[in-house]
Amino acid sequence: MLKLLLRRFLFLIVTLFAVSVTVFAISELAPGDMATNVLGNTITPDQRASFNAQNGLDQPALTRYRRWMLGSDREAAQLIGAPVDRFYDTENNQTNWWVVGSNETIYRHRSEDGEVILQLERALLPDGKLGPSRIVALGDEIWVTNDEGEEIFWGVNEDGRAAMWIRGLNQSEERLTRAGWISTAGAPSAYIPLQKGLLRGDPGISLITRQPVIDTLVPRLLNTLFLAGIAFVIIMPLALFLGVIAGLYEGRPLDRVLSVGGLVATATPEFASGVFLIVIFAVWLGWFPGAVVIPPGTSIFEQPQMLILPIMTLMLVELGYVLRVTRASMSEVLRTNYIRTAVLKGLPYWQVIWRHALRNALLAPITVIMLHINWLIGGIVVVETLFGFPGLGSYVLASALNNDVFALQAATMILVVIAVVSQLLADLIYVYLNPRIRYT
Amino acid sequence: MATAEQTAGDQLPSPSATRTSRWQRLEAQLGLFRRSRIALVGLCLVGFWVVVALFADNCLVTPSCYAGIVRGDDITTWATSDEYRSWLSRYSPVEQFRGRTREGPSWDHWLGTDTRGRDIWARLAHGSRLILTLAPLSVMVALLVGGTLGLLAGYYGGMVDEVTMRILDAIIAFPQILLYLVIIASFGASATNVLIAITIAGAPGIARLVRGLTLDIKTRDYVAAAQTQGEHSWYIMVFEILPNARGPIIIDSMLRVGYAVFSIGTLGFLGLGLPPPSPDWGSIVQAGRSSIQAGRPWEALWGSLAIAMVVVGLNLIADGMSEETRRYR
Repeated sequence: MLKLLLRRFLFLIVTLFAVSVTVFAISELAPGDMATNVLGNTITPDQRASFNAQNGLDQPALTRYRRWMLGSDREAAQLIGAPVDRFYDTENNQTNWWVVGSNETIYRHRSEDGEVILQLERALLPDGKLGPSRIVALGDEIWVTNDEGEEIFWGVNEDGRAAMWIRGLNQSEERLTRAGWISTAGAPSAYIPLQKGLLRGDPGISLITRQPVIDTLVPRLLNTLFLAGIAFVIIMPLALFLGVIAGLYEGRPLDRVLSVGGLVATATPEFASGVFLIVIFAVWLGWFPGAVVIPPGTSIFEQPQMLILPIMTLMLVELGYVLRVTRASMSEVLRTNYIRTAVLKGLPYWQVIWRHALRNALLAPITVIMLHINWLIGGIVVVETLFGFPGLGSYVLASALNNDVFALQAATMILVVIAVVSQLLADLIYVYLNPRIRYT
Repeated sequence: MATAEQTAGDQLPSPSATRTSRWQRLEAQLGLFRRSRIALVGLCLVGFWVVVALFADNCLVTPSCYAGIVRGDDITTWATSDEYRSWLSRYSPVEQFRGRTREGPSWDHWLGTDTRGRDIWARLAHGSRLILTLAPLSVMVALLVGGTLGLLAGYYGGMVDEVTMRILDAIIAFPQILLYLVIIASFGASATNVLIAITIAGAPGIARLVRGLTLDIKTRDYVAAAQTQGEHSWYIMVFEILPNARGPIIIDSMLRVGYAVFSIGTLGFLGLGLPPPSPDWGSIVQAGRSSIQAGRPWEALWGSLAIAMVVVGLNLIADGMSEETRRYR
């Protein structure tokens, strides 16, 4: 048992590694370059070069994969000579990277001419907020001579990236701000985009919103888990119950209705059954809202009536599938010799069903349900898109459509982890429930 | 119940006992639709759209319009040329009727008009061609890839088997929708990319099935006989094993065509299908989605109904088929 567990776990790790390489490689192999995909094809070569350098896209693929998985803050801290960390600024509601200095101060750097480095200092107040900012010009002693004889300085620039200035080299960089592209002088010569890495819960900055992906990802994930959780809790007992009933009455009209109904419900794509439900319940009858609209500042948990139609849509698709698996398993068990023996030795009908048939019949559906999580993820993407539900599914789609590569990679990895772990659980549950496998 | 089925099975002569003519075998296969009412309903649902797809333009009736296709007329030409209009769909899928947007069903426009004033029925009719060619085609490609991998893995076993199956397991572990999203978002939305995505998602399942069947059939005497005779490995795989694994593969493929339609529709709905103005069914539903709340659900409703009909129909046929084989086993 332990050996099996260990082997499964090892396989899980290998799978996840393979998946992470695949996800990375596919976005790597995509035709066209990322800068054009994100910024449109009207950008100038200078703008493209700046974008690539600022986002670390000019680095070799291996370096980028390492930074994506393990983070880049440690290598940056080594170059800067002081630790770097993220701090939340209540003034502009943004989380950003700073150099952590001694005596409770954090720093960032800027230069206007590539000659003088201006240091922006803010105090770390005891309540976790940031104090007022103060700008000092740094003296000559900060410059370090590197192997090529250039005088360099590593710091964290205003965009929160580790950056290297070379003394006397007054470069300009193109930056995209809210006001559009601006060209600034005194630019650094090299950048390291700072992130803690996927394994430490920081998949990087969204190329579209310029905010950490994780800040959007977590609330979205919670919304989705809430939706899927409710759907799961309603569907499973109902589907198992109906499946058992259909299996018991195999071949009779009740079974025909249930299993053909289940087939039709499962086969219909989620967006089609969702449209049918909206047309019937929202447009025609006007019972439930047909879209999820959440006013800013409120959460989805406060408006449960908006979840009714999304849950019903998910239910239709999943219900039929589990029902049919349960039915097949039940009717198979009812044909076995031990059930015949139980009936022939005169046990009451319900006792045969309850004690002997049901236990064996539910074995298959329980594992199938877990394996079906892959399918449920597809359903969730479609249902969230159809109803405008702010969850992980619609986030994945939006990132894919907007070429927001880091967001897409992160959301994909989370969903894959959920899928793979649930499959592992399915294996383990099956082994636990089925003594024939456990003891071999 | 079990005994009743056994007697039914006993009455039927075993297929290998008597040599039947090609015609008799075809009739026996079509007899499925006489015996299984579910399969018949499925056949009607799918058949309806096959007929619609055949007569969506006039090429079957006036073959001169093939010349147009050879000339390279594309979908936009349909708007101007009468040559293409058939009795079944009087308008072209891209012809816009000004001032007649988002209308309900009427005599002029049987199913109404969409947000751009195009005839919904014409769009669905032409869209049926896309989906009814793309879905079987992608399943065939997936069969070719997955079948080959499964045969090789099952027949040779050992390291070949282990490596192939572990890689395919990893692909299966990947939720299909993400595979589609990542592939199509990176490589762009086009018919070819949709086909590639569906092949990659479908091939591992087929490979698993074929491998299982191969492992079983490999142990039969006729395979051993062929091996003793000194036949090539590929000959044994293609001419001894594959024909005997046919039954389950056919049923599986039927289901897979249904999944492929499902997936193509879903991709279209998510905005990853064929680019506009092609009358992709999923895109039609997506385009009509915003007008549902305004009380004009026609575009989304008919699009959903069309795709549901085809998928449900294919599933019903597959269900009837597998019921049949279970009964006579």
